[in-house]
Amino acid sequence: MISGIVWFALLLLAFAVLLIRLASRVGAGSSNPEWLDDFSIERFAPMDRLLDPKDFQFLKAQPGYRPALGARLLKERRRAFAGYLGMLTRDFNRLLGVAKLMLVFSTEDRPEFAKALWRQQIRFYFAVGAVRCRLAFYPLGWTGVDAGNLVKSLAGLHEQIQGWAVQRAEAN
Amino acid sequence: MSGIPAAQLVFLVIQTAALIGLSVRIWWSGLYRLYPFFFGYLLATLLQTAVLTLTPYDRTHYPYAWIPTEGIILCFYSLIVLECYTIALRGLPGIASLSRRYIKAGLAVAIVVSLLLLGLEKAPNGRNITLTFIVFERVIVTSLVIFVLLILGFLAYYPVSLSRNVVVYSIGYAVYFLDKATLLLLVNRTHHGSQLASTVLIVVSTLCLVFWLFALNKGGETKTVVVGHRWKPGEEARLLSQLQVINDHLIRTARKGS
Repeated sequence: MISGIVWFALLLLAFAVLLIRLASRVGAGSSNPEWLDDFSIERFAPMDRLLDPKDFQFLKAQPGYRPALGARLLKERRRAFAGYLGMLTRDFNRLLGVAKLMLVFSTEDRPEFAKALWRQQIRFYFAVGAVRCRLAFYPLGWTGVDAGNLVKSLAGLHEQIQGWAVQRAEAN
Repeated sequence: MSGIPAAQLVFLVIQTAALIGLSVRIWWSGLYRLYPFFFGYLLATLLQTAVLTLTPYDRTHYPYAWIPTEGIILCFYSLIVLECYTIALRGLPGIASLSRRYIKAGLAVAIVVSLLLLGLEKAPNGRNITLTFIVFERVIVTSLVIFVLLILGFLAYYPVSLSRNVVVYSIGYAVYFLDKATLLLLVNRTHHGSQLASTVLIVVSTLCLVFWLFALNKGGETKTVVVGHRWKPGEEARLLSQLQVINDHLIRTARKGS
């Protein structure tokens, strides 16, 4: 009896989530294409420096240093890094939305593009998860937070859809 | 029919009225041309109602009238689900082979999961043909529930323009098949409560038919994309022009970069 109810509840929840998502889908039109003009990988450059251990070592070497100062700097830097990570994920999702739209409305069958997109998405989300874990454990000494691959992934997706847009324009 | 509980009888009358109403509506609106299997399903259900009305409600006659007619309806269940999503995914060459592959894989996953649930059920005792048929029916209906769920996942993932009717069908299928699969699973696990399960099923299927009766119409076939909880007919054209704008921006930035 309980297994039946659990089964029903799980599937009901899954259906509810999907149907609500379908019924509240926001078209690509809601995202302003002008943001593509301003899109730049450069704005994520500070991520490389934000959690650089050298900065903390430098602060430590200064006269009048107190551990509370170091902790405050780390807290602020982690918050800023998380903010950049959020922006990076949002940009990735926007680009992914554009890529999916291009795929769905493509006049040619593009299974390889769909596959590549799917792989890229999985890889990106895994990498974001790993970076978030490292960020959480940073105060415990796990200091190897590197967002370079994420930025590269974002740049790769941008180039891919740009290349495809050019191809489409040439074909028309 | 004399042995059927009074509550069930009342709902059966309402269900039959809803079935006739929906069949007439589908015919009148011309939707039967687009959804021939759905129309066939409605006719098969009407046929089953007529056959079962004329059959004495006892253990000797009733199962032999119910099993073959239910078997036909089971076939229609599979056909109407495939029909609905084939229509939803038609005319999208960009994801043609992807959606074909996804449908095949989705079907395989749905069948495997549904068969795995057999482990939770009691084996039918002896040579009880009705119980054996109910196990078979549960496997098919559960496969369809999972398949509909997987297809909805695909439709939610890609910005496919859906007609309002496809969403209306999907809601009906989700509610009806989920309810039926769960009730059949519970009946198969315990071999009790089939009377109550039948009553609940009749109520739910009547609600689904009434929902379809009021929500399905010819206008619902216009391809739409839902934006902010509102249906906007002609949204596909706007989306395509938006895509053109996105393309122009991408090309401009590519030229800037090179």
